[in-house]
Amino acid sequence: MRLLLIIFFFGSILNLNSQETQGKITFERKVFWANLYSKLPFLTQEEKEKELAIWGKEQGKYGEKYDLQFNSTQSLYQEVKSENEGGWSWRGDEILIFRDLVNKTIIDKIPLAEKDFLIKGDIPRIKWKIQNELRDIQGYICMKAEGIHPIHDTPITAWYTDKIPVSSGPEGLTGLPGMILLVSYGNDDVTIEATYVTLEKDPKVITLPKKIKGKEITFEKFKEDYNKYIKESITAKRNPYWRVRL
Amino acid sequence: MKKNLLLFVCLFFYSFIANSQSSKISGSVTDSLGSNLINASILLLEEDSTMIEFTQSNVEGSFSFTKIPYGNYLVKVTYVGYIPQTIPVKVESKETTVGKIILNEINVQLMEVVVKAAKAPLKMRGDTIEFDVTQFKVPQNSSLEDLLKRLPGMEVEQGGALKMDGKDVTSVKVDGKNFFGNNPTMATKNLPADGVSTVQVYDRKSDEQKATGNTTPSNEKEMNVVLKDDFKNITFGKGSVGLGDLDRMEGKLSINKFTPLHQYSFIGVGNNTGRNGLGWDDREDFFGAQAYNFQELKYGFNGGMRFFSFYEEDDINLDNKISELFWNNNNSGLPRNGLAGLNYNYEGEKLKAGARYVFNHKGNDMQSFRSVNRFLPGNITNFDTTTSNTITRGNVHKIESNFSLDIDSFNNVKVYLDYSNLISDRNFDSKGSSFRNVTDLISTSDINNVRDNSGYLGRGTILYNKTFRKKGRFIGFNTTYSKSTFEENTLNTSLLNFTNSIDQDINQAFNNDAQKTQLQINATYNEPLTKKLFLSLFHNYDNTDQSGEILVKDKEENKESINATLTRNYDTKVAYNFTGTSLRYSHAGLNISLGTGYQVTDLNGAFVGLSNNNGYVDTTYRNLQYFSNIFYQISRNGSVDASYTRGVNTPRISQLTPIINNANPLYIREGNPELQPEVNNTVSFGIWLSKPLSGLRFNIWSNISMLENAITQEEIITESLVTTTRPINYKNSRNLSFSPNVSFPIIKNKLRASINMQLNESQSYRLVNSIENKTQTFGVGPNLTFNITPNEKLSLFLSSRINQSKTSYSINTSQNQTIINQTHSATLSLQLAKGLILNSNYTHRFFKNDRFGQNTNIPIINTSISKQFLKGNKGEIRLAAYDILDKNQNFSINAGSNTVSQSNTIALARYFMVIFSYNIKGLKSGVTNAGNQWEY
Repeated sequence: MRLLLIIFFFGSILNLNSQETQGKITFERKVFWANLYSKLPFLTQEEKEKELAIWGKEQGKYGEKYDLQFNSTQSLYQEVKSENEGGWSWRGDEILIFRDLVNKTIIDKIPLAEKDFLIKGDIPRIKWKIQNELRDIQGYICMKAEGIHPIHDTPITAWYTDKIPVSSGPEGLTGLPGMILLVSYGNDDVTIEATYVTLEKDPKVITLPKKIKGKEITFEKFKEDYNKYIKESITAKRNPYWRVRL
Repeated sequence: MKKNLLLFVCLFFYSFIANSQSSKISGSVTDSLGSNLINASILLLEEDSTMIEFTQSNVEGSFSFTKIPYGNYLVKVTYVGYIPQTIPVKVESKETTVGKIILNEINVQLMEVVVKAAKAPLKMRGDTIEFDVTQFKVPQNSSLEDLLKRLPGMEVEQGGALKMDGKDVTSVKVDGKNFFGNNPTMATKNLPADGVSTVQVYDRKSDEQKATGNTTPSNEKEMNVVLKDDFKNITFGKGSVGLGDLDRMEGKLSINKFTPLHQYSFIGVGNNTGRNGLGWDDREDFFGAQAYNFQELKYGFNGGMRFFSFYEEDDINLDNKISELFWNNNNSGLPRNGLAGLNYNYEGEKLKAGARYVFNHKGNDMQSFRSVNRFLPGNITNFDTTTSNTITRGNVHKIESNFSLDIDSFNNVKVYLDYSNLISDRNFDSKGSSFRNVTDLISTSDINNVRDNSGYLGRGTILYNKTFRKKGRFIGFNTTYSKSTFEENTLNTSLLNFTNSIDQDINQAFNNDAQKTQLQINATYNEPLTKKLFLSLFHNYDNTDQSGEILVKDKEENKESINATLTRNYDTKVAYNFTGTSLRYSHAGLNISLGTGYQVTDLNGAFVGLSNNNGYVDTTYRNLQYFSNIFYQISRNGSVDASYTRGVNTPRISQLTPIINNANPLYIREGNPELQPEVNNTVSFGIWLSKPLSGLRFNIWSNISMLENAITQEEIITESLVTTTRPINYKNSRNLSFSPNVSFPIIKNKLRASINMQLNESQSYRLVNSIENKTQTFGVGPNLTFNITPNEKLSLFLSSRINQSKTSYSINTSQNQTIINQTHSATLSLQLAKGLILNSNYTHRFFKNDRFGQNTNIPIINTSISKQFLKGNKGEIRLAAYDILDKNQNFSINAGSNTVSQSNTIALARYFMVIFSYNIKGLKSGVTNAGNQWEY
């Protein structure tokens, strides 16, 4: 047993600097409804505080699962369709986020309320600020970086590891010196955290579905429509996040 | 303009030249022993640490960035297990070197314990490390000091002095602020560990160091303790007092204190205006996290959804009487309401518990006028008019508690206990006349009925739910036992004068002493057969036992004698067993369920009177029931839903008992032991569609239900208009309803219209003096609303609803009639100058029935003007005028099987009120949109 541990120990040391650049990461995406709701500007102070006090603990218990397939040049992010749990099958959003890391282009299928959009163009650039903080996520030491979300302009905090030197991450967030394993929007309103990391030695081929349905749109127009919808909902004193994902 | 252009061109070229002056930055990375670090990340940052580029060190540990414009930069080097280094670089020549960058290893203990084990972030400031602690496990009720003892590098000395990496911690701050002066032990000994989210320890810098940016390591450490966000408690509360003329008043107070583990609430309401003004928000305030804790105990074909109709005992409806008291409206007549409640919730991770006490007082003084037209065979009508005065008072006390324990992630046990006590009394006075064909007076009545009730109900429920690793497998079990007693004393004094017959003078005292016990046991087992196919089995058992004594005394002057016909003991038992199974296919938004069940109902009853007027019931009904449902979610914006069910409604014991009940000599009821269950076939269909981007909403609901062998009434009416009724099974009755609704914006966010249509058709039979009467009703109800919100300062809501119903009677077609009810309303909310807000509502109701020449209209105008004051809009003063036109009354017309009734109750009319409200967190300000919020 002890021998095994020693072998394992040395094995892991030898492995320390080997860098693998293909594999699959499963992320769990959690939406903290009470945090999100309590920030809506049309609520009174009492409603905001109450929302957090009553429902703050109930949120973030369940998350949706997403898979990020990646190699050194491409990544593809898609929801893992869970089979009907309580014996009921519902239709959710279908999301597909593809990044070509060499040509710096994107193919994204993202819904906005009732419509599916297909965004094609260049990778939106995020101005990352690198912070002096480290933490462990799934056994990877990650470094903190802060930026602004390219679509909804929410402050985002990303934790990336240069152990996986692929400049990608969940939700199409890219541009850091390594793989993003955790990202949070706003003040933990939404968190997307790696729950399982598999690295592969053999080259990995990433294939896009032959036909991706959705209305073709530029990134800039999508961003404009998205923010217009949020603004309109807030003007009408409705919570926009029931029908639009942050 | 030209100048600007010139400037722009100059700037453009300047930047071009500046950019063309680019350079190469190079350097290398080693560890503290001088070994090259390969694959270290090198980041080129702007001075504000915005990343420009990144690269990796090569086999020699060296790196370079090329084509870098002149300027100031930071070069940051990171490598797993080492403290990142950031070096400022000034690029002003073609070749810039940062030389050899040496990285120091992070203290292994810190790395292993903090980063790896506790998964706590590690923060670096220059060469010193701060660590944030979130997940160091300490026993419950530990102090912060206990937590600190576990931190790597931290020493807690006797007496509580702290040392970090051998250096004294001389200052402890909480949330960045000094905590009770500078004594570090004050905070560490008194703060609970589980209230702390992070602990940061760093070099204590003197003010001088802070000012100069001097980074030489200090000999003193400072600790900052960050409290958990949810550790902070919130207290909120609001109250309002209103005083009006005509002695009208209303008051409301609620106070809440919520902490992460404990939630305390108080609510108190009192008024004589009928407006408790309690909505879902108040419900949530009072119940806290338990507000939506609904539990369906019976299992059904669609996973807990109860679809089959189960008989409701009418003998003791104490349960209903109590449950309706809390949220029910009491605003007709002249109402009075009082309510007080206390709630406590414990919201632990695994254990959640709550206890509450609610007291409710209700009273009403109601003066009503009611007229009923009944159609009899041979073109005869019976016209009854009654003027009544009812005074009711009731008090309910209710204590309830609930516990929910997650034994582990698969097993959950819940317990509910409640006890209620009810005392109420009612004084009913009425004067009535009964006519044949409108003019021919048959009888007059003068009734006084004084009744008092009291009773209690105690109930306990245990629920057990078990889920499994295999998703979709589920076992549920619950049992409820309840016991209630009910005592009713009635003093009935009636004087009936018949034109062609002997007058009746009744003076009776009724005493009803009743007990009820009920045991319910429900169980279900659900098994996923494949990923798409689910099997569900369930059994519901209900045993209800009711017994009691009805003692009736006839009173004459100074003399009492027992009424032998009406006095009796009764004992009834109803045992109900239902076993069902269903199979569901679920995939890609399509859900198809098919189910069947076998129902056995045992009815047993004994009614033993003093004379020979005894009745016994001993019947068993066995029935099969069927269920099918398709729910298809076409996309996330639309779905269709269709279902068919075939169930039975079993007769109630009171309908079966062969006893003649002549407590009311004008209306005699008789049971029918031959009665069979009626079979209920229901088909329903729905479409739902919502497009938030365009703002379109559309849905259709329709429902067809047919009762085979329907339970209906047989009426025998004598010459002197005394009615005897008996329940019978007769033919089929049906009911159709269809309702399409559409809502769409005309001008986005400013003008929204919605159109709603209700269509109804129903057909039922009744036997009147052995002649069949078929009643058919056809109703059309269009409804149109406009929600107008042109700007922040104005909201206008317009609504028009028309309801036309045609009723025809085969027994007497000349009585066929059309009733048209209309409601038109406008609700305005307008912000005036100086923070004044005007709210106004105008509602005009029209009631029309040409057959009786009925044409009534009631216009109501309510207006209020309010102004908020105090800092943060905490206070509000409102001047309100209700029913300015002084026209309020409760009016209704209804056409039934062979009757048309009309009632009119005197209601609270014009009054004025001044209302002061206070909310410790600030009130909602601005105009209210009646389209979203119906009350104002």
